[in-house]
Amino acid sequence: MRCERFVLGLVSVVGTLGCDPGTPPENPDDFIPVIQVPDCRPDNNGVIESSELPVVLGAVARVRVGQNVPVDIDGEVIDGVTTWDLTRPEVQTEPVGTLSVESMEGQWFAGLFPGADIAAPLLPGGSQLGPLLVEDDGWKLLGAASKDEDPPEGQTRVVYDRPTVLYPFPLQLGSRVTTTSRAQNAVLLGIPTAFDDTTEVEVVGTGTVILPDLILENTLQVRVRFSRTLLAGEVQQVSYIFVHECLGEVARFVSAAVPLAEPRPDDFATATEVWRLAL
Amino acid sequence: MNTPKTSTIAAAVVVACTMLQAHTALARTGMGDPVQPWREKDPDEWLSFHGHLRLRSALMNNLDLGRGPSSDGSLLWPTGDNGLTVGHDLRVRLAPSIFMGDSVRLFMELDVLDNVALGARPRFTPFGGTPAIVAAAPFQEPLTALDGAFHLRTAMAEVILPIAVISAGRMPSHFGLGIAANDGNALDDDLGDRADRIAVTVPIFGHVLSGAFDVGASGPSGQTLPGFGPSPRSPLISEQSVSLAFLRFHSPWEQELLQNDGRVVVDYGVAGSIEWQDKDVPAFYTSFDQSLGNDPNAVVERGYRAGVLDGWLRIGTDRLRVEAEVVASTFQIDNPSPYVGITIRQPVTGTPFGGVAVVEIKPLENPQTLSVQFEGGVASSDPAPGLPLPAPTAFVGARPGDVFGSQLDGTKDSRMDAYRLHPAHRVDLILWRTLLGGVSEAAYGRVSGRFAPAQDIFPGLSLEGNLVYSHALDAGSAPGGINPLGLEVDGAVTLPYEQFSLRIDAGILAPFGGLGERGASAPPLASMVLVRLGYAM
Repeated sequence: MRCERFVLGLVSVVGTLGCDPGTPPENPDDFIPVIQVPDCRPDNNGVIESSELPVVLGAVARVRVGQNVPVDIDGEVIDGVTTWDLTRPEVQTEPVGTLSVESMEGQWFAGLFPGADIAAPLLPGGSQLGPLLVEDDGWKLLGAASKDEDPPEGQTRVVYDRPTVLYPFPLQLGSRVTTTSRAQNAVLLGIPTAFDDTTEVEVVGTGTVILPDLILENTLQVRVRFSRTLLAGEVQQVSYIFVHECLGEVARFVSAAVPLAEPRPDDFATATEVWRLAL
Repeated sequence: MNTPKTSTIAAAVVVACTMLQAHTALARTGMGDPVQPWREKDPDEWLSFHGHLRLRSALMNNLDLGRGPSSDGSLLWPTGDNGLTVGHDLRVRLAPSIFMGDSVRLFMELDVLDNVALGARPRFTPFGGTPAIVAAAPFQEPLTALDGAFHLRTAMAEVILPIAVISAGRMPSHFGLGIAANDGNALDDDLGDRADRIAVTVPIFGHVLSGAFDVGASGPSGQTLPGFGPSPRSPLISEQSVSLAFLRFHSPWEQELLQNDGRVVVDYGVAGSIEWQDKDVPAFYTSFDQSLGNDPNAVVERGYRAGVLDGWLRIGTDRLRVEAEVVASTFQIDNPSPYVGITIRQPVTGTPFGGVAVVEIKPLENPQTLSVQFEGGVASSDPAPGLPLPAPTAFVGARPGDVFGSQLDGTKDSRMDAYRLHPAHRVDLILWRTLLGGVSEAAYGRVSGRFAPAQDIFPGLSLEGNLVYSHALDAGSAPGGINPLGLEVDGAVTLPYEQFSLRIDAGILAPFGGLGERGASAPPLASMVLVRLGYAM
């Protein structure tokens, strides 16, 4: 469940989310281009317009995925600029996963989400996809579906009654949006269910992100508070997603999932998962 | 990634030999005698006019080599109609020299039409924005700058002082055989290097010593109000270079005189160039928005340094010419990011190099009647898939099997060692000249001949033949995954009449597996016929 929801990532060129920590193919004939350069012209002003998050179908991005990693959510102020140093742990210790955005055309669930523009991966290996609306005022998640109609682990089919807003544009410090979406007659991994998802998205910081391969200025830190209420219980999780012009999501910290009755894990020192964009 | 690809490196060579370059291009649009403009002008003449009109038609068959699109969707060549493509273009170049007194000359080259396609603007198009057909529109609308008209190519001046020549402006850049810097001044040339330069040339002990300062990219001004003097810019965002050249050079007429006298003429030169850029405003080069010069958020720390060394040697008699040029460069770009706000931490580095050697023999009593030339050349390779891109594009890595690739792959491959010989250094008709934009990541061997019979009856008539074998240096980089690229046979005939000439080129390329698709058999034969009408002043 953790990946399924928080992956939403955002991302643009770089694709989207998916927590597939696979390794790059060793056969050179399977070589995957790193990043397709988008038709995007950043202005480095700390405000991300919809045009500054282009979606490039088929583009492939690579992310390093670490688990149980110490993190500093607040960052360090250097010369007046909040700086998140994500150069640790050493890159050699982490697997590299690939992310890409798929077209809705030809997907078995396309008829369930007639307005969706793209399908973003939600689970490792892209076995589950999230149909998204890409609009000028925001990116909106319409639900989820297993990539295959009848996979061995069971079908997933979640259709929200209202889209969950992921990125309200223009995205800038202070931008926030809260959405509660209900999924009835849903199927999760072959099990019929129903639930309410509440997603609070807020830009809580801006500064410089230092990755092993990149230094990114005026990157936005987006906090995503997510809670899910099922018949069997309630769970919540907090993610900090770093979003940059033209690149989209460049890093994320994901907290442990805890019951809703417990204090919200806004300030955690160890992330259950850390993603870092890699070249 | 738009980093110093070979063409940029070649441009960086920008060697100074100004006096030579300036004069070479001066009052002529073709290669010529360095002092010819001054020697030919009448004492009272203040204006000389040179230039040409060139019309070309080409018929090409199977130049796509039967290949599908590369991984980025690009095609090597349009598929046309069952592999058949045609093209016609027109160039009109005017090159006036204005002599001011006995020591100052202003020289310009204006491409009134710059390879404009015939039939580019049918009459009445675009039909006022409404759909219509052109079937009954045989005539043409006037051409504008958007169609390829009125391109200023050269604008420079020089003054001949008692001890030096000072040249300034946008001027041709050429050195040696032209494998790194090539002015592309011949009637059949395309492209050609022009540099914004200030240069000083001093004769020393029968040699020429030149120093030059070039501005390759100036960046945005930031000036919003009218002002006097040069528009202000940050000194750190300009791409600049300094060059030094030391040469011994005999002009063609000097060579002829000396060689007819049985002398061996030895020319040589060495040129070095250093280029740098500390910061950059990359968004300026997509928008040309001058206000970006005032925006600190638009600045990218670049940290670019490059050095180029070029050496050239020519030994000639009336029956033999041995000529060679070798160029090598090294560069580093600390931050190769084209995006403001994004710093790529892995520098891009490279050491591309290339070289060409030529032996020309004139075996007959009249050396002008027959010449046979043996030529070999090499352009260094990079193991990344594909040949280096002819123009800056992306960071994107290519897939094995692609014809072109960026040579870079994120942090996995941050070296760019591939070199491309200047496209104006032509070795064939089809493969390198037309398809691939200049010899790159390959070696070639070439045998060519020129026969000029019956000069009493048809002065200037010449017949040419050319046989070229091309071999990739790195099989993994070649599109087809193996080294042999192809064998090409070309022929040409030139028929001049006074200031007019007709030239017909024809060639057949037998592509080998190195040009095919991975795992497939060799592509089918490709062929081409190029007809050129030249009217030169």
